[in-house]
Amino acid sequence: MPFHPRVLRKLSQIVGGEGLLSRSADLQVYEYDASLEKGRPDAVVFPTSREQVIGLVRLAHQEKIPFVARGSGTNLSGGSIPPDGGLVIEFSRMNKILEIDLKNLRATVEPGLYNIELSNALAPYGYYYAPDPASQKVSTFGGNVGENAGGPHCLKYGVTTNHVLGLEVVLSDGEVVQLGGKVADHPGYDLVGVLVGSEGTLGLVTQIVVRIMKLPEAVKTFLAIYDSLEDAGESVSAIIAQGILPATLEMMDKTVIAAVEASLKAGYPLDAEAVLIIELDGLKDSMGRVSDQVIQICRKKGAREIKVAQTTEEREALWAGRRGAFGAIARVAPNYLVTDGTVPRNRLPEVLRKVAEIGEKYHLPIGNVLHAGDGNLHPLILFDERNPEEKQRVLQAGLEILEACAKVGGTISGEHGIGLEKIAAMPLVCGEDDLKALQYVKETFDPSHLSNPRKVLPLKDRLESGGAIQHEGKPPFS
Amino acid sequence: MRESPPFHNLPQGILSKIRPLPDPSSAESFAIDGRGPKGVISVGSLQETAEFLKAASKANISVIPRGSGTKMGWGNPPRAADLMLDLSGLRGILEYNPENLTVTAECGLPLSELQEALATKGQFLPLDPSYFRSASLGGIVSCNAYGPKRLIYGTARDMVLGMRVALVDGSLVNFGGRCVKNVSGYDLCKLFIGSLGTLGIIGEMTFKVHPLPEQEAIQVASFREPTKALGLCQSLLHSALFPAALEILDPLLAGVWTQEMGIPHEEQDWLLLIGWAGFSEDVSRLIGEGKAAFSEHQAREDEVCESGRARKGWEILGHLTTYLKVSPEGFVLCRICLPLTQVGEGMARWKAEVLTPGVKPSLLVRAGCGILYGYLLEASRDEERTFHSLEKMRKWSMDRGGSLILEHAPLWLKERMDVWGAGGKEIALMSRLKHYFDPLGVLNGGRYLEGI
Repeated sequence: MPFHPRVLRKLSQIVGGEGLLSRSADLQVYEYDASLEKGRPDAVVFPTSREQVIGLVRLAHQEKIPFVARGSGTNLSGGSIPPDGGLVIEFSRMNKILEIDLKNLRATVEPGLYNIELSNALAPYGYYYAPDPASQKVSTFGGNVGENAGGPHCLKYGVTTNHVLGLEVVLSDGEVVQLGGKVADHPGYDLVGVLVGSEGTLGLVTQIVVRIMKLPEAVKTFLAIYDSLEDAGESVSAIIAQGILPATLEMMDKTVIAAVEASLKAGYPLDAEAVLIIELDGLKDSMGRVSDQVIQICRKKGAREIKVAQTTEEREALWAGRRGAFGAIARVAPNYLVTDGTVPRNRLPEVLRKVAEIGEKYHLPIGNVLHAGDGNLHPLILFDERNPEEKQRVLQAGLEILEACAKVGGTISGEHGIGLEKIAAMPLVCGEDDLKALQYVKETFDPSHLSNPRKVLPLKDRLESGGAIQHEGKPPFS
Repeated sequence: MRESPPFHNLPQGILSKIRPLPDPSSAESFAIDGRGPKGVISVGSLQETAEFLKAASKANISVIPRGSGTKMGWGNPPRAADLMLDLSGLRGILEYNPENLTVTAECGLPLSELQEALATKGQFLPLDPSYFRSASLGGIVSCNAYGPKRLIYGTARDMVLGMRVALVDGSLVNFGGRCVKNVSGYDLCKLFIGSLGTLGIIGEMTFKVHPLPEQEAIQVASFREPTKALGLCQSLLHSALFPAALEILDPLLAGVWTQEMGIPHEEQDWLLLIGWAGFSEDVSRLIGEGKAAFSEHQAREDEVCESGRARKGWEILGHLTTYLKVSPEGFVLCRICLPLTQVGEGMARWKAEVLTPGVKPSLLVRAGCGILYGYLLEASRDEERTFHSLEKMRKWSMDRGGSLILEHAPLWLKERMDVWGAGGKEIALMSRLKHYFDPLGVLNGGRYLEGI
């Protein structure tokens, strides 16, 4: 239902006329993200400051309008889709690096900043920000925090949550809280840890404090080429079992290689069944010996060839192929569904076999890109959504892949989030009691259920809040 | 403190398991800040734990969980301490998957026993908190305890992948899982890490483990001027050498550590311990870099401890408090967290604020993490001044975005000074969370922030 003109007027007072979109044609662009979900907002606003965000959220709270935060819309689970209409708060105008504090190894950024821009700004000083989602050229810090984004280098350095130390959050009633900060060990519960990965359902982040790190002294990147997907998978386990923790262990299969070569020319061999991109980083002294060890392991496990990137350009080309893999696939088929199941790493080979079986069962081509070192699969199911029958098969196949992951002790999402897309699959990993505990968190932060509604938790009922809310947080027993 | 509600409201099955404390001396050793408990119940399974919690909550009986008992001094004095929940019987390793670098273990298991099991496969859990010989996994994670190598490996929040938790409504809930990446639902492991047992009992944890480093070393140097030691730490922090630990010990603690290690030490000298860990050729090179840095910063290198001797050095440091002569009424240990750039000023403040020789102050600086451990060995000699100087130190730290937490303090100090220091508006959120998870506040009630 379109907003009342009075609401539109108020929105315009907060963000200015140029910061508001409400015409149908303009809104159409915001009804989708990188997932298959759709939902049209009633208005999109582009705040430029925390104060504007507070004003917007207060208004939404008064008028009981649901709101959804949005960065670049690279979300792969429908997290930035407004399923019930309402307000999309788009953060592209809050995209500044607020502070680079090299001496304290911290940086403070606004949520609309692109991930890559921080590392670009730090590079001249010899520092970087470690989490590097493949979408890092366009995905924003706010989105990365919301989804607890991973990336190739998270194998060694951890995901977003391991690098975010402080957040400024506007809660769904317009209150602002400062959580964590530059310093270690803030007293009290680790609410920063709870907020990261909460998919915008607990409030809106307006500032982010992150850890920055010194760039490693030496980096070596390899492309290991295999005639069997299984051999590539076994190499991954073998390297880790050897006590070597590479910075990255990424895998791509034949379907993805073909798509990447057709559009990006990364130098992957078209006749291979799988390639691994292995990157080691650290001190230069051990680099030679450890590289030799890795090469030997790959050979022993059946790699037919191992290429070492000799120059920065060669390294960049290998990575450009990996980072562009999803985009390249988009040129092969009109649509794809990417799933994000994660399994214990030693179960990868069997789960990959299962994925292939599921593809055959449903007559669907599936390409595989994997953060193999983390046990995180991204099977890409190719299809054409204009064929509704096919889309139905795709969704069923996707669900079966997630079931296969859950069955071996894995989970349904490693880094893309639950959003709208995987709500139905949540019971695979989350029982009634588990859900109740998660709901305690939702009710604590967003009792009015206005912040990104219907995401993450398959909720049936609201919880009775009891005395908690009326006491304004003061427990009755104190 | 309120009167204990009668235990006979508990179901017979639970009542029969409660052991009274046999004599006053054991009551004292189980007491929290001199209070209770009236009895102890030992559980043999997580299911049993959940059933007990449900019954206790129903009867409004306050529960103090205990693993190995190394951190019973943490937190504010409890509002009540009716029953102690002894978790030391939950000590199984439930699943060890070396190929996946994960292990699942129960809360009562001492860290050292887990490390022995992991070492058979060349792996370890990179947590090295104080008292790591006996400290249990549940206690370490509930207190978010860590040690010198936090600098390179991080804390429990970087290692815990999943948990199984008993809640006061009798349910057993699972958070996270056994994968290294997981965004399926909110990350409630983070909420429970460091929550001091106030939300539920962490019964099982799955950790991400690491390969043991090929080589480790502690490079030891003496400094007359602590600022020089700090300067060296800062230059290493901004290099690509990635030290595993940077610990600065004041002359008193340096004397204790060197004596136990059998290293000569001059009375007025400060000590810097640089930890290195990694591939053997890297560690050799790093030691060379360390030597060059020492001569540049006018330090005298005392020793390079490698392999087993390095492990001994960390063990002594982790148990340093046990080597100190302290009076129970006078021992204070506070943890002061600061921005890295304020550590030098913090060290000077500590000296200026509390350096009355009577209370025997001492200092250990976790220089790479921005953490100062301030010791007072005999604070009871000047209670008034101790209280005022710690309050001033806390205010100064908080003004810089930091904090001062009392990790250990006698009751007279805790009665005047909150252990944690007040927080901001986020306290309301924390109280609400507590209210949902533990509506009557039976779990460690009062020991956490703001009455939680």
